[in-house]
Amino acid sequence: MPGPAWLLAQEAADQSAFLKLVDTLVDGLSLGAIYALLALGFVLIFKATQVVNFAHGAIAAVGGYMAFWFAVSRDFPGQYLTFLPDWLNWILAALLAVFVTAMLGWLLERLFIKPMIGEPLFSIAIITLGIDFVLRTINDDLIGIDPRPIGQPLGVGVASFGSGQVTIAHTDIATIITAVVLVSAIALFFRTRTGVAMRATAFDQEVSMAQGISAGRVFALAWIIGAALAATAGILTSMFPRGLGVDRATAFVAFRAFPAVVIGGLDSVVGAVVGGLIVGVAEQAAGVYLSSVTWLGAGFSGIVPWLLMLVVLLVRPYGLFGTEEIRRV
Amino acid sequence: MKRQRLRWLALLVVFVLVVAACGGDDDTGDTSAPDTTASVDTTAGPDTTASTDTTAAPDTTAGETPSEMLTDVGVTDDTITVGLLSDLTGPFGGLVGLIVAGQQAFWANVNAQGGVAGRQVELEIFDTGYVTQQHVEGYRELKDKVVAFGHSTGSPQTIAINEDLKADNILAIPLTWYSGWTDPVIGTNLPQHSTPYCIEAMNVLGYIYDEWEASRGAPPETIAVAGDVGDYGGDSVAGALLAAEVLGLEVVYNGDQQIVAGQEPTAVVEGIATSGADIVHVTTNSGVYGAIFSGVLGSPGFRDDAVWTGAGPSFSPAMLGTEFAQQIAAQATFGFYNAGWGADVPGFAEMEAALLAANPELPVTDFLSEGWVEAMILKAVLEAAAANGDLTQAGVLSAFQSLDTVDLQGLAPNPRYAGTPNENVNRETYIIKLDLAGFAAQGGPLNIGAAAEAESATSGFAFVENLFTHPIAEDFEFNEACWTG
Amino acid sequence: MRTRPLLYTSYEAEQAILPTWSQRIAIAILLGIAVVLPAEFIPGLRWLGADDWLDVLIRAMIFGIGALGLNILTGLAGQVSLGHAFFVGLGAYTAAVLGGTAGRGLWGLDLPIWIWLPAAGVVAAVVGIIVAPTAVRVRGLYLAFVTLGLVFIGEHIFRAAAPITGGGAIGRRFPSLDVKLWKEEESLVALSSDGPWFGIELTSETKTYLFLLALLIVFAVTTKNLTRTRVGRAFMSIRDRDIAAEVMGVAETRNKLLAFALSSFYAGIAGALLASFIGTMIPESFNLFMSIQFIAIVLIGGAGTVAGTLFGTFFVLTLPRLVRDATDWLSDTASGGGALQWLGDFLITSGPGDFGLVSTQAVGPGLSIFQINVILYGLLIIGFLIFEPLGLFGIWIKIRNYWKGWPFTY
Repeated sequence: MPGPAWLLAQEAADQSAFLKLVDTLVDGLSLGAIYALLALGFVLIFKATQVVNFAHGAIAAVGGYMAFWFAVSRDFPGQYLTFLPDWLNWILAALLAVFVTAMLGWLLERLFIKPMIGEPLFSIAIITLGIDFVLRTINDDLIGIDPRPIGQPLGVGVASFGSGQVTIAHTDIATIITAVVLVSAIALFFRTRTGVAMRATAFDQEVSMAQGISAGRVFALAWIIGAALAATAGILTSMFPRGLGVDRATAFVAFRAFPAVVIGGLDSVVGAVVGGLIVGVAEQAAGVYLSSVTWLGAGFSGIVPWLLMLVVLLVRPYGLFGTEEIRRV
Repeated sequence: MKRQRLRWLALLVVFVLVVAACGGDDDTGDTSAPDTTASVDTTAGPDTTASTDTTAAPDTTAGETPSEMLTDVGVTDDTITVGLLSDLTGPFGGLVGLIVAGQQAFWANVNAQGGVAGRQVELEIFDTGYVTQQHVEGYRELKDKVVAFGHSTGSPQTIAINEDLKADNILAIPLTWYSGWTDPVIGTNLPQHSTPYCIEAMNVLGYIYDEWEASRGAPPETIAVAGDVGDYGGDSVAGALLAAEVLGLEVVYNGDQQIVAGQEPTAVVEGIATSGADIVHVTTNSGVYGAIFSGVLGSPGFRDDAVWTGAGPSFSPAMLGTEFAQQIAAQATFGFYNAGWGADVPGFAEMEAALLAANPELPVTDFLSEGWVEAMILKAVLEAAAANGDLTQAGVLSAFQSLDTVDLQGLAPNPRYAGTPNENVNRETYIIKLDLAGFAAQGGPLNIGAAAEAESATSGFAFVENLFTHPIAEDFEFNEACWTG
Repeated sequence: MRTRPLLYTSYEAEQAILPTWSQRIAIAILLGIAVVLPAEFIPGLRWLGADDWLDVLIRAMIFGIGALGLNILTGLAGQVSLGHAFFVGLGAYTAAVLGGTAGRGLWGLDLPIWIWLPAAGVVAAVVGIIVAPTAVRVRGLYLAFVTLGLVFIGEHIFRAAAPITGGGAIGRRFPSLDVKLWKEEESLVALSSDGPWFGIELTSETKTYLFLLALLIVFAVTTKNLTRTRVGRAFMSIRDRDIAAEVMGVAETRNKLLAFALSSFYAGIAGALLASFIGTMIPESFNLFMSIQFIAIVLIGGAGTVAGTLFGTFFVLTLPRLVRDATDWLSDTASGGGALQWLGDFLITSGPGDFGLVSTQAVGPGLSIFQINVILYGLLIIGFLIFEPLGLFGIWIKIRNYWKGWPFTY
């Protein structure tokens, strides 16, 4: 026996509002997964070397361009491995792109960061800024005029639930899976011998060196992993449903992940992931629910992460998971 | 000391690497193309000993010896220096680079034929990076070196130097299609060309409306609009809203001034997706357009029978290489400002030859002729000034102010400068669709060298209507800028 | 004995702004050169006195005032701020509302410069005090990020506040630097147009340059004096060891607030001057890049000193122009002949088929000269900090130490 018509309408409206919320959450999580990857790479480098890496976005954009270069421009290794399916070839090319970018991170660390060990930290931060100028300009030149599409392993497939009111692109599912896999891999890595050495160095550089840990190796490793994570994020953010491909704006994506880093706590790996997801969901929700509030101004969703960051820091000055600094006279 | 040496080594290695990276991809082989000189100097004709080559050529202005000419800044007895305020390292760096290449090719061609008023034309290029301060800095540096500006990139940047241009009596060709340049309150020193964004929006929406009605039996009913922050988005959206009113389209989402550079366009995607509009009109750059289209495509509210449109720079052939190429090629119709590559117009052959001579590596895009068209206008102005015997900065400006029109040889609608704003404003738009089949058939983007040898070449755009004027645009009373913020 | 730089026989001597005669003479010569620079008769420096270079120097002096402010906060009090551009913007828009002209939905009161210029500093300082309590709670890198957030949020507010700022990507006109008593037509001192001063015909650039030189000296001396006061010493004690300072009775929070307020005041003044010098600015101008420029100035100059900050300002602000001139010269030599043509030929490619490492074309193979300029700018900053992490001031100390020990230097 169906209820009165207004009740049914009410129920349908409730359900539709609920599904919209779910859709927003799903979209926010996939955006947050990209932020989490960026934040994680940033935190790894900061934790190991105390360096704020302003070149993180430029490295991400290099990763995106490398993916274009291998997967689309040169079709490498796809043209030699014709017996493999296209999607697998694309993944191989993407892995190659991540690898090359990681090596670039290593090179940057050797050339610019290693000679600066022991110097004022903010001077090193400004050096990474110089690196950002150089990398970004060269990468922009390579990208050229138009955005460079980086390939289409999953096409424009969209999965939908809840009578079509909740949708998620296949690429977004892949993004979330990639993030989960990489974060777990790094969590596991910290339990290995090298990982423990890395954590020890982050905790106390001098003591760990006294224990026979090579700080130089740890620094290099941090930059390699950090750059690889940035490249992965750069590739994922250049794909459907986020845009045409890698372009001049890709390098600025890292700035959007900064609030995530701080919300989680600068030196916390768990924090980076949680912060990334929070920021992603908050930004998406603000875009969906607050866009009709005109007095907030255009593009308000873009500063929601920053406002959130200020609120978190007011309550917890070291972020949600950051270590409180113990200060002595 | 050892550490110090390590640092030296580090720097040296990097420098070598960077320099190697720069030079990495320029092994173009030894083509016998003529040597066009450089940013600061386009004097080279077919031979490299350019500066001495001011000897008579077919159409040197007759009966005029340089000494009779009134000159002040930027003009000597054998050279005329023209400034370009170009974004070469900013968000439009690649695109404006091509436009600069068009200018360089044009002036190299003119110089080879004897130059203007017996003088070789040189370009002084300043990179503004699309930053207002840098633009103003460039203006102040160049105003004491050049006779006029061959282009000034960007609406806010051009507005920023507009008061100075008026005070200094200098002419600058705007490289932006804001409707304000035709408004005499704003654009006294700015020779506009091609149809402004707002009238373009009327034309393209009128075209879509008629096509929709003809093919589906009933007219479209709703429209969603959105645009970039600033004059560019504002002007285009203003035109779209005017057209919607005339056509009786209901505006189901209005995202005027809602797209902010460097931010995820979440709100606009949501607004368009939930509006379920028949026509979607978005004005931004091609990267953000792709992000919005793909965002809506991945949302519950996506309609595969809606028509997507927007101002010309919102689109790029790069869309044809993406996952959603099929989808957007089926749905997009938009406007453009000048004739496309390979157009059957009188001026094309000369432009193609000059560009080929300058650099056959240039990619085929429909923006190549923009630089050429700008330079054509400036050449006409300079020749008029030379005919008046006054090649001073103010003389060039007043030559423009008494100019009626310039024959652009079909490469773009001829600009009109003599009448009222309503008479002057251009109302002709090129209507374009994405040419997926042609683009795929030629195996992706070509450079102009390959295009010249191929039987047919496409930039990825298919020109479905040339110089199209819809009655809405025809009847539109234009007295002032469509949008002033 | 008198010439030993580190020997002081009284507190006054130690606290003097210029303790030694050599310093006094050096400053006097430097000032003399600075004043007569626009007359273009100093051999070897004539190019620097031309109007287009004065333009660069004016900009540098305006940035110098802002950088002196950041130096109080970062160099003296040790609080690294990436939010300086926000306060610069506040100053600019205070000037716009008070001194600007109304119309097109914009607010403007047409008040004279002696009202809007100080007001720009005061408004920025007040906002500095309002936001400082948030910033004082966090330290180190967290502070850098809080202030970074300030820039992004500020940019959003500027963009949204169209009646004040003109709106995103559109912007508005700012008042000119002309000095007026009230709203009369004829200005008392006309800086924005050419004309005579005391019978000497001067260009508008020259007049603006001299005006700003005077302002910069006032702000530099004030800042130098600040370091010699109780407040300055309190700032430095917080920078060096905040808890120890607190134990000794230095009120940490109050002094940090004061440092924020002072630094914002300078930023506000610089913003008003910058905007009115440039004429039209858009809200997006007051962005992260501007903040980074300020922090780079302070770090490259060597944090904590007035002289270092000023050196840093001129280094960072003239570098792009110097790089551009150098590459222009190279491309000229590539085509123009002369003894160094081989070098230009080797480095520059001027078209397809020509060998060279750098392209002078705007598009095409290789990096364009414009991109090389940006890259060189980045590389010079990297190189500079790698060799001299203590900044230009560190170089100065090295030179001084060399001569101090001469001829027994190693």
